[in-house]
Amino acid sequence: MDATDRNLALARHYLGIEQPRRALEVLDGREHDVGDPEYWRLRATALIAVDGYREAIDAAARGLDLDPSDVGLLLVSALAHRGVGDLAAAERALLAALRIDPEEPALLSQYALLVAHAGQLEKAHRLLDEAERLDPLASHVVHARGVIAYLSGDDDAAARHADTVLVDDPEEPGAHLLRGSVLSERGSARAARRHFETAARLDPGDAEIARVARASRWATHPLLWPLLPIQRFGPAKVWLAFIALIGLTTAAGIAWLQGVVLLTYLVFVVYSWTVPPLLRRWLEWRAAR
Amino acid sequence: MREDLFAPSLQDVPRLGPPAEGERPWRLGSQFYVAFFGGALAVTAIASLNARRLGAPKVAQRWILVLGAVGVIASVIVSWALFGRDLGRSVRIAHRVVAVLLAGALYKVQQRPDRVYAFRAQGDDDEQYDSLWVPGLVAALVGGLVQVGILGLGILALDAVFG
Repeated sequence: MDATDRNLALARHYLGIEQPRRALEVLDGREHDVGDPEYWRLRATALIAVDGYREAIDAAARGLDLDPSDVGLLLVSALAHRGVGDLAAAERALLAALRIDPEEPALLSQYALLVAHAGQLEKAHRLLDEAERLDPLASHVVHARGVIAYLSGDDDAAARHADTVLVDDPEEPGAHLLRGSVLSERGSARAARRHFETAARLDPGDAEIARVARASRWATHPLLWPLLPIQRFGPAKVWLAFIALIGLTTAAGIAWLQGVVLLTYLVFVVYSWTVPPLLRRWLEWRAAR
Repeated sequence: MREDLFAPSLQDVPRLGPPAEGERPWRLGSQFYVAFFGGALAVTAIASLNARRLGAPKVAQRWILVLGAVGVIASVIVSWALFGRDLGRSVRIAHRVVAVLLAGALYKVQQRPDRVYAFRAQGDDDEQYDSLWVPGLVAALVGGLVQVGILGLGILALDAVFG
Protein backbone atom coordinates (compact mmCIF):
# COMPACT_ATOMS: atom_id res chain seq x y z
CA MET A 1 0.00 0.00 0.00
CA ASP A 2 1.55 3.33 -1.07
CA ALA A 3 1.25 6.66 0.75
CA THR A 4 -1.80 7.75 -1.26
CA ASP A 5 -3.65 4.53 -0.53
CA ARG A 6 -2.78 4.83 3.17
CA ASN A 7 -4.09 8.42 3.32
CA LEU A 8 -7.29 7.50 1.60
CA ALA A 9 -7.78 4.39 3.74
CA LEU A 10 -7.26 6.46 6.88
CA ALA A 11 -9.72 9.14 5.69
CA ARG A 12 -12.23 6.40 4.83
CA HIS A 13 -11.75 4.96 8.33
CA TYR A 14 -12.43 8.32 9.98
CA LEU A 15 -15.55 8.78 7.89
CA GLY A 16 -16.66 5.28 8.90
CA ILE A 17 -16.44 6.19 12.58
CA GLU A 18 -18.24 9.53 12.10
CA GLN A 19 -15.10 11.65 12.46
CA PRO A 20 -15.28 13.83 9.33
CA ARG A 21 -13.02 16.55 10.73
CA ARG A 22 -10.24 14.03 11.29
CA ALA A 23 -10.80 12.77 7.74
CA LEU A 24 -10.44 16.32 6.43
CA GLU A 25 -7.23 16.77 8.43
CA VAL A 26 -5.82 13.65 6.76
CA LEU A 27 -6.90 14.86 3.31
CA ASP A 28 -5.73 18.46 3.78
CA GLY A 29 -2.40 19.20 2.20
CA ARG A 30 -2.20 15.93 0.25
CA GLU A 31 -1.80 17.67 -3.12
CA HIS A 32 -0.27 14.59 -4.71
CA ASP A 33 -3.59 12.73 -4.20
CA VAL A 34 -5.71 15.21 -6.15
CA GLY A 35 -5.49 13.16 -9.35
CA ASP A 36 -7.50 10.40 -7.71
CA PRO A 37 -11.34 10.70 -7.89
CA GLU A 38 -11.54 8.77 -4.61
CA TYR A 39 -9.71 11.63 -2.87
CA TRP A 40 -12.39 14.08 -4.02
CA ARG A 41 -15.22 11.69 -3.12
CA LEU A 42 -13.90 11.31 0.42
CA ARG A 43 -13.25 15.03 0.71
CA ALA A 44 -16.75 15.93 -0.49
CA THR A 45 -18.29 13.34 1.87
CA ALA A 46 -16.38 14.75 4.85
CA LEU A 47 -17.34 18.32 3.92
CA ILE A 48 -21.02 17.37 3.72
CA ALA A 49 -20.77 15.83 7.19
CA VAL A 50 -19.54 19.14 8.61
CA ASP A 51 -22.16 21.15 6.66
CA GLY A 52 -19.58 22.54 4.21
CA TYR A 53 -21.95 22.05 1.30
CA ARG A 54 -20.54 24.66 -1.08
CA GLU A 55 -16.99 23.36 -0.71
CA ALA A 56 -18.36 19.83 -1.12
CA ILE A 57 -19.99 20.84 -4.43
CA ASP A 58 -16.60 22.11 -5.64
CA ALA A 59 -14.80 18.98 -4.42
CA ALA A 60 -17.31 16.68 -6.12
CA ALA A 61 -17.02 18.72 -9.33
CA ARG A 62 -13.21 18.35 -9.25
CA GLY A 63 -13.61 14.60 -8.90
CA LEU A 64 -16.22 14.41 -11.66
CA ASP A 65 -13.81 16.29 -13.97
CA LEU A 66 -11.51 13.28 -13.53
CA ASP A 67 -14.23 10.64 -13.84
CA PRO A 68 -17.68 11.86 -14.94
CA SER A 69 -19.18 8.38 -14.53
CA ASP A 70 -18.16 7.86 -10.90
CA VAL A 71 -21.47 6.93 -9.23
CA GLY A 72 -20.15 7.68 -5.73
CA LEU A 73 -19.09 11.18 -6.77
CA LEU A 74 -22.43 11.81 -8.45
CA LEU A 75 -24.16 10.76 -5.24
CA VAL A 76 -22.12 13.07 -3.01
CA SER A 77 -22.58 15.85 -5.54
CA ALA A 78 -26.35 15.33 -5.24
CA LEU A 79 -26.18 15.39 -1.43
CA ALA A 80 -24.10 18.57 -1.48
CA HIS A 81 -26.52 20.32 -3.86
CA ARG A 82 -29.41 19.21 -1.67
CA GLY A 83 -27.61 20.72 1.30
CA VAL A 84 -27.67 24.18 -0.31
CA GLY A 85 -31.30 23.75 -1.33
CA ASP A 86 -30.62 23.30 -5.06
CA LEU A 87 -32.92 20.32 -5.59
CA ALA A 88 -32.83 20.64 -9.39
CA ALA A 89 -29.04 20.22 -9.53
CA ALA A 90 -29.21 17.41 -6.97
CA GLU A 91 -31.78 15.61 -9.12
CA ARG A 92 -29.62 15.99 -12.24
CA ALA A 93 -26.68 14.41 -10.41
CA LEU A 94 -28.77 11.56 -9.02
CA LEU A 95 -30.45 10.81 -12.34
CA ALA A 96 -27.02 10.74 -13.99
CA ALA A 97 -25.96 8.17 -11.38
CA LEU A 98 -29.16 6.17 -11.92
CA ARG A 99 -28.58 6.12 -15.69
CA ILE A 100 -25.27 4.39 -14.96
CA ASP A 101 -26.59 2.08 -12.25
CA PRO A 102 -30.40 1.97 -12.37
CA GLU A 103 -30.65 -1.03 -10.05
CA GLU A 104 -28.74 0.39 -7.08
CA PRO A 105 -31.13 0.55 -4.08
CA ALA A 106 -28.99 3.17 -2.32
CA LEU A 107 -29.39 5.57 -5.26
CA LEU A 108 -33.12 4.91 -5.43
CA SER A 109 -33.42 5.55 -1.67
CA GLN A 110 -31.52 8.82 -1.97
CA TYR A 111 -33.70 9.88 -4.89
CA ALA A 112 -36.78 9.07 -2.80
CA LEU A 113 -35.47 11.25 0.06
CA LEU A 114 -34.65 14.01 -2.42
CA VAL A 115 -38.13 14.17 -3.95
CA ALA A 116 -39.52 14.07 -0.40
CA HIS A 117 -37.73 17.38 0.22
CA ALA A 118 -40.04 18.88 -2.40
CA GLY A 119 -43.09 17.18 -0.87
CA GLN A 120 -43.40 14.59 -3.66
CA LEU A 121 -44.21 11.80 -1.25
CA GLU A 122 -46.14 9.62 -3.71
CA LYS A 123 -43.14 9.45 -6.03
CA ALA A 124 -40.90 8.77 -3.02
CA HIS A 125 -43.08 5.79 -2.07
CA ARG A 126 -42.91 4.42 -5.62
CA LEU A 127 -39.13 4.80 -5.75
CA LEU A 128 -38.84 2.91 -2.49
CA ASP A 129 -41.14 0.17 -3.81
CA GLU A 130 -38.66 -0.24 -6.66
CA ALA A 131 -35.66 -0.19 -4.28
CA GLU A 132 -37.38 -2.74 -2.04
CA ARG A 133 -38.03 -5.00 -5.01
CA LEU A 134 -34.28 -4.98 -5.74
CA ASP A 135 -33.15 -5.47 -2.15
CA PRO A 136 -35.90 -5.76 0.47
CA LEU A 137 -33.44 -6.06 3.37
CA ALA A 138 -31.13 -3.14 2.60
CA SER A 139 -31.03 -1.01 5.75
CA HIS A 140 -30.86 2.32 3.88
CA VAL A 141 -34.06 1.36 2.02
CA VAL A 142 -35.81 0.49 5.29
CA HIS A 143 -34.55 3.73 6.86
CA ALA A 144 -35.71 5.82 3.89
CA ARG A 145 -39.06 4.01 4.09
CA GLY A 146 -39.29 5.09 7.75
CA VAL A 147 -38.47 8.71 6.95
CA ILE A 148 -41.05 8.87 4.15
CA ALA A 149 -43.65 7.22 6.41
CA TYR A 150 -42.94 9.85 9.08
CA LEU A 151 -43.26 12.69 6.56
CA SER A 152 -46.54 11.16 5.37
CA GLY A 153 -47.87 11.27 8.93
CA ASP A 154 -47.79 7.47 9.36
CA ASP A 155 -46.01 7.36 12.71
CA ASP A 156 -46.70 3.65 13.32
CA ALA A 157 -44.95 2.65 10.09
CA ALA A 158 -42.10 5.08 10.77
CA ALA A 159 -41.53 3.55 14.23
CA ARG A 160 -41.69 0.03 12.79
CA HIS A 161 -39.09 0.80 10.11
CA ALA A 162 -36.80 2.54 12.61
CA ASP A 163 -37.03 -0.46 14.94
CA THR A 164 -36.20 -2.81 12.05
CA VAL A 165 -33.05 -0.83 11.29
CA LEU A 166 -32.09 -0.72 14.99
CA VAL A 167 -32.44 -4.50 15.33
CA ASP A 168 -29.82 -4.91 12.58
CA ASP A 169 -27.68 -1.99 13.66
CA PRO A 170 -28.36 -0.59 17.16
CA GLU A 171 -25.80 2.15 16.48
CA GLU A 172 -27.46 3.73 13.45
CA PRO A 173 -27.86 7.43 14.34
CA GLY A 174 -30.48 8.11 11.65
CA ALA A 175 -32.77 5.38 12.99
CA HIS A 176 -32.43 6.75 16.55
CA LEU A 177 -33.27 10.20 15.23
CA LEU A 178 -36.36 8.87 13.46
CA ARG A 179 -37.49 6.86 16.50
CA GLY A 180 -37.00 9.92 18.68
CA SER A 181 -39.00 12.07 16.28
CA VAL A 182 -41.93 9.65 16.35
CA LEU A 183 -41.83 9.46 20.17
CA SER A 184 -41.63 13.23 20.38
CA GLU A 185 -44.72 13.58 18.16
CA ARG A 186 -46.51 11.18 20.49
CA GLY A 187 -45.59 13.24 23.51
CA SER A 188 -43.11 10.77 25.01
CA ALA A 189 -40.49 13.43 25.63
CA ARG A 190 -38.27 11.33 27.92
CA ALA A 191 -38.09 8.33 25.60
CA ALA A 192 -37.50 10.67 22.66
CA ARG A 193 -34.67 12.32 24.55
CA ARG A 194 -32.94 8.96 25.06
CA HIS A 195 -32.98 8.30 21.31
CA PHE A 196 -31.84 11.81 20.40
CA GLU A 197 -28.99 11.67 22.90
CA THR A 198 -27.93 8.25 21.60
CA ALA A 199 -27.94 9.63 18.04
CA ALA A 200 -25.81 12.59 19.16
CA ARG A 201 -23.36 10.27 20.94
CA LEU A 202 -23.07 8.02 17.87
CA ASP A 203 -22.60 10.95 15.47
CA PRO A 204 -20.81 13.64 17.47
CA GLY A 205 -19.84 15.63 14.36
CA ASP A 206 -23.40 16.36 13.27
CA ALA A 207 -24.40 19.80 14.54
CA GLU A 208 -28.07 19.26 13.62
CA ILE A 209 -28.33 16.09 15.70
CA ALA A 210 -26.57 17.85 18.60
CA ARG A 211 -29.12 20.67 18.38
CA VAL A 212 -32.05 18.22 18.41
CA ALA A 213 -30.56 16.39 21.41
CA ARG A 214 -30.11 19.69 23.25
CA ALA A 215 -33.69 20.73 22.51
CA SER A 216 -34.96 17.35 23.75
CA ARG A 217 -33.15 17.90 27.07
CA TRP A 218 -34.95 21.24 27.44
CA ALA A 219 -38.28 19.57 26.67
CA THR A 220 -37.92 17.42 29.78
CA HIS A 221 -37.08 20.34 32.10
CA PRO A 222 -39.11 20.27 35.37
CA LEU A 223 -40.62 23.69 34.59
CA LEU A 224 -42.33 22.09 31.60
CA TRP A 225 -43.86 19.26 33.63
CA PRO A 226 -47.20 21.13 33.95
CA LEU A 227 -47.39 20.96 30.15
CA LEU A 228 -47.08 17.17 30.09
CA PRO A 229 -50.78 16.75 29.15
CA ILE A 230 -50.20 18.86 26.02
CA GLN A 231 -47.00 16.93 25.19
CA ARG A 232 -48.71 13.60 25.79
CA PHE A 233 -52.13 14.13 24.21
CA GLY A 234 -51.65 17.16 21.98
CA PRO A 235 -53.21 20.60 22.38
CA ALA A 236 -56.54 19.71 20.72
CA LYS A 237 -57.42 16.92 23.13
CA VAL A 238 -56.40 18.99 26.14
CA TRP A 239 -58.51 21.97 25.04
CA LEU A 240 -61.43 19.69 24.27
CA ALA A 241 -61.10 18.18 27.75
CA PHE A 242 -61.27 21.67 29.26
CA ILE A 243 -64.27 22.52 27.11
CA ALA A 244 -65.97 19.30 28.17
CA LEU A 245 -65.31 20.17 31.82
CA ILE A 246 -66.69 23.66 31.34
CA GLY A 247 -69.71 22.17 29.57
CA LEU A 248 -70.28 19.67 32.38
CA THR A 249 -70.06 22.28 35.11
CA THR A 250 -72.41 24.52 33.13
CA ALA A 251 -74.90 21.70 32.64
CA ALA A 252 -74.67 20.81 36.35
CA GLY A 253 -75.14 24.47 37.27
CA ILE A 254 -72.08 24.54 39.58
CA ALA A 255 -71.02 28.11 38.95
CA TRP A 256 -68.05 28.17 41.36
CA LEU A 257 -66.54 25.00 39.80
CA GLN A 258 -67.02 26.45 36.35
CA GLY A 259 -65.07 29.50 37.51
CA VAL A 260 -62.25 27.32 38.87
CA VAL A 261 -62.02 25.32 35.62
CA LEU A 262 -62.04 28.49 33.55
CA LEU A 263 -59.36 30.12 35.70
CA THR A 264 -57.21 26.96 35.61
CA TYR A 265 -57.59 26.88 31.86
CA LEU A 266 -56.54 30.51 31.44
CA VAL A 267 -53.50 30.05 33.72
CA PHE A 268 -52.61 26.92 31.77
CA VAL A 269 -52.86 28.78 28.45
CA VAL A 270 -50.73 31.70 29.63
CA TYR A 271 -48.18 29.27 31.13
CA SER A 272 -47.95 27.27 27.88
CA TRP A 273 -47.44 30.47 25.89
CA THR A 274 -44.88 32.15 28.08
CA VAL A 275 -42.81 29.61 30.00
CA PRO A 276 -41.43 27.41 27.14
CA PRO A 277 -39.91 30.26 25.09
CA LEU A 278 -38.59 32.02 28.21
CA LEU A 279 -37.11 28.78 29.52
CA ARG A 280 -35.49 28.03 26.17
CA ARG A 281 -33.92 31.48 26.03
CA TRP A 282 -32.68 31.18 29.60
CA LEU A 283 -31.17 27.72 28.98
CA GLU A 284 -29.57 28.92 25.73
CA TRP A 285 -28.11 31.89 27.56
CA ARG A 286 -26.82 29.60 30.34
CA ALA A 287 -25.36 27.12 27.81
CA ALA A 288 -23.63 29.96 25.96
CA ARG A 289 -21.96 31.04 29.21
CA MET B 1 -43.09 2.51 -15.03
CA ARG B 2 -39.36 2.88 -14.43
CA GLU B 3 -39.14 5.57 -17.13
CA ASP B 4 -41.85 7.44 -15.28
CA LEU B 5 -39.91 7.10 -12.00
CA PHE B 6 -36.72 8.40 -13.57
CA ALA B 7 -38.41 11.35 -15.28
CA PRO B 8 -37.11 14.57 -13.69
CA SER B 9 -39.68 16.17 -11.41
CA LEU B 10 -37.64 18.76 -9.52
CA GLN B 11 -36.32 20.90 -12.36
CA ASP B 12 -38.92 23.62 -11.79
CA VAL B 13 -38.55 23.63 -8.00
CA PRO B 14 -37.07 26.99 -6.96
CA ARG B 15 -33.91 26.92 -4.92
CA LEU B 16 -34.84 26.31 -1.30
CA GLY B 17 -33.34 28.58 1.29
CA PRO B 18 -34.16 29.57 4.83
CA PRO B 19 -37.26 31.82 4.63
CA ALA B 20 -36.91 35.31 6.06
CA GLU B 21 -38.63 36.26 9.30
CA GLY B 22 -42.22 37.08 8.46
CA GLU B 23 -42.31 34.46 5.70
CA ARG B 24 -41.78 31.41 7.88
CA PRO B 25 -44.71 29.17 8.81
CA TRP B 26 -46.24 28.96 12.26
CA ARG B 27 -46.27 25.95 14.57
CA LEU B 28 -49.36 23.87 13.97
CA GLY B 29 -50.07 23.38 17.67
CA SER B 30 -50.39 27.14 18.22
CA GLN B 31 -53.34 27.31 15.84
CA PHE B 32 -55.56 25.69 18.48
CA TYR B 33 -55.28 28.84 20.57
CA VAL B 34 -56.49 30.91 17.62
CA ALA B 35 -59.37 28.47 17.14
CA PHE B 36 -60.33 28.66 20.80
CA PHE B 37 -60.24 32.42 21.09
CA GLY B 38 -61.11 33.45 17.54
CA GLY B 39 -63.35 30.71 16.19
CA ALA B 40 -63.60 28.95 12.86
CA LEU B 41 -63.00 31.95 10.63
CA ALA B 42 -59.84 33.05 12.42
CA VAL B 43 -58.23 29.62 12.47
CA THR B 44 -59.11 29.08 8.79
CA ALA B 45 -57.43 32.36 7.85
CA ILE B 46 -54.29 31.43 9.80
CA ALA B 47 -54.24 27.86 8.44
CA SER B 48 -54.69 29.10 4.88
CA LEU B 49 -51.80 31.57 5.19
CA ASN B 50 -49.69 28.92 6.90
CA ALA B 51 -50.31 26.37 4.13
CA ARG B 52 -48.99 28.90 1.61
CA ARG B 53 -45.93 29.52 3.73
CA LEU B 54 -45.35 25.78 4.00
CA GLY B 55 -45.59 25.45 0.22
CA ALA B 56 -48.46 22.98 0.63
CA PRO B 57 -50.00 21.56 -2.56
CA LYS B 58 -52.90 23.55 -4.05
CA VAL B 59 -55.31 20.73 -3.26
CA ALA B 60 -54.42 20.97 0.46
CA GLN B 61 -54.91 24.75 0.34
CA ARG B 62 -58.35 24.26 -1.22
CA TRP B 63 -59.27 21.69 1.44
CA ILE B 64 -58.47 24.25 4.12
CA LEU B 65 -60.91 26.74 2.59
CA VAL B 66 -63.59 24.08 2.15
CA LEU B 67 -63.18 22.87 5.74
CA GLY B 68 -63.20 26.47 6.96
CA ALA B 69 -66.48 27.20 5.16
CA VAL B 70 -67.99 24.00 6.56
CA GLY B 71 -66.73 24.98 10.03
CA VAL B 72 -68.33 28.45 9.90
CA ILE B 73 -71.66 27.01 8.72
CA ALA B 74 -71.46 24.20 11.30
CA SER B 75 -70.79 26.64 14.13
CA VAL B 76 -74.01 28.54 13.23
CA ILE B 77 -76.10 25.36 12.96
CA VAL B 78 -74.65 23.75 16.12
CA SER B 79 -75.07 26.99 18.10
CA TRP B 80 -78.71 27.36 17.03
CA ALA B 81 -79.46 23.66 17.59
CA LEU B 82 -77.97 23.69 21.11
CA PHE B 83 -78.80 27.15 22.43
CA GLY B 84 -81.42 28.63 20.12
CA ARG B 85 -81.26 32.44 20.16
CA ASP B 86 -78.89 32.56 23.16
CA LEU B 87 -75.93 34.19 21.39
CA GLY B 88 -73.91 34.48 24.62
CA ARG B 89 -73.78 30.73 25.27
CA SER B 90 -73.26 30.05 21.58
CA VAL B 91 -70.18 32.28 21.53
CA ARG B 92 -68.86 30.92 24.84
CA ILE B 93 -69.30 27.23 24.08
CA ALA B 94 -70.78 25.99 20.80
CA HIS B 95 -68.74 27.91 18.27
CA ARG B 96 -65.56 27.19 20.28
CA VAL B 97 -66.14 23.44 20.24
CA VAL B 98 -66.71 23.53 16.49
CA ALA B 99 -63.64 25.74 15.98
CA VAL B 100 -61.35 23.44 17.99
CA LEU B 101 -62.66 20.40 16.11
CA LEU B 102 -62.07 22.29 12.87
CA ALA B 103 -58.54 23.14 14.04
CA GLY B 104 -57.95 19.39 14.45
CA ALA B 105 -59.00 18.77 10.86
CA LEU B 106 -56.88 21.69 9.61
CA TYR B 107 -53.95 20.31 11.62
CA LYS B 108 -54.24 17.02 9.74
CA VAL B 109 -54.34 18.78 6.36
CA GLN B 110 -51.19 20.77 7.20
CA GLN B 111 -49.34 17.93 8.92
CA ARG B 112 -47.66 16.48 5.81
CA PRO B 113 -46.39 19.78 4.40
CA ASP B 114 -45.33 20.84 7.90
CA ARG B 115 -43.25 17.71 8.40
CA VAL B 116 -41.71 18.07 4.93
CA TYR B 117 -40.87 21.69 5.77
CA ALA B 118 -39.30 20.74 9.11
CA PHE B 119 -37.40 17.91 7.37
CA ARG B 120 -35.69 20.26 4.95
CA ALA B 121 -35.46 23.40 7.11
CA GLN B 122 -32.32 23.90 9.12
CA GLY B 123 -31.81 25.51 12.49
CA ASP B 124 -33.73 25.22 15.71
CA ASP B 125 -37.45 25.60 16.25
CA ASP B 126 -37.23 29.38 16.66
CA GLU B 127 -35.29 29.69 13.40
CA GLN B 128 -37.72 27.47 11.47
CA TYR B 129 -40.99 29.02 12.65
CA ASP B 130 -42.40 32.49 13.16
CA SER B 131 -44.22 33.49 16.32
CA LEU B 132 -48.02 33.38 16.06
CA TRP B 133 -48.50 35.91 18.86
CA VAL B 134 -49.33 39.02 16.81
CA PRO B 135 -50.96 37.43 13.72
CA GLY B 136 -52.86 35.03 15.98
CA LEU B 137 -54.12 37.87 18.15
CA VAL B 138 -55.17 39.93 15.11
CA ALA B 139 -56.89 36.90 13.53
CA ALA B 140 -58.63 36.05 16.80
CA LEU B 141 -59.89 39.64 17.27
CA VAL B 142 -60.92 40.41 13.68
CA GLY B 143 -62.01 36.87 12.78
CA GLY B 144 -63.73 36.52 16.13
CA LEU B 145 -65.76 39.72 15.64
CA VAL B 146 -66.79 38.76 12.11
CA GLN B 147 -67.60 35.25 13.31
CA VAL B 148 -69.85 36.59 16.08
CA GLY B 149 -71.63 38.72 13.45
CA ILE B 150 -72.13 35.69 11.18
CA LEU B 151 -73.24 33.66 14.18
CA GLY B 152 -75.83 36.27 15.20
CA LEU B 153 -77.23 36.72 11.71
CA GLY B 154 -77.18 32.98 11.04
CA ILE B 155 -78.98 32.17 14.27
CA LEU B 156 -81.62 34.83 13.53
CA ALA B 157 -82.07 33.46 10.01
CA LEU B 158 -82.37 29.84 11.20
CA ASP B 159 -84.77 30.91 13.94
CA ALA B 160 -86.91 32.78 11.43
CA VAL B 161 -87.07 29.80 9.07
CA PHE B 162 -87.27 26.85 11.47
CA GLY B 163 -88.10 28.46 14.81
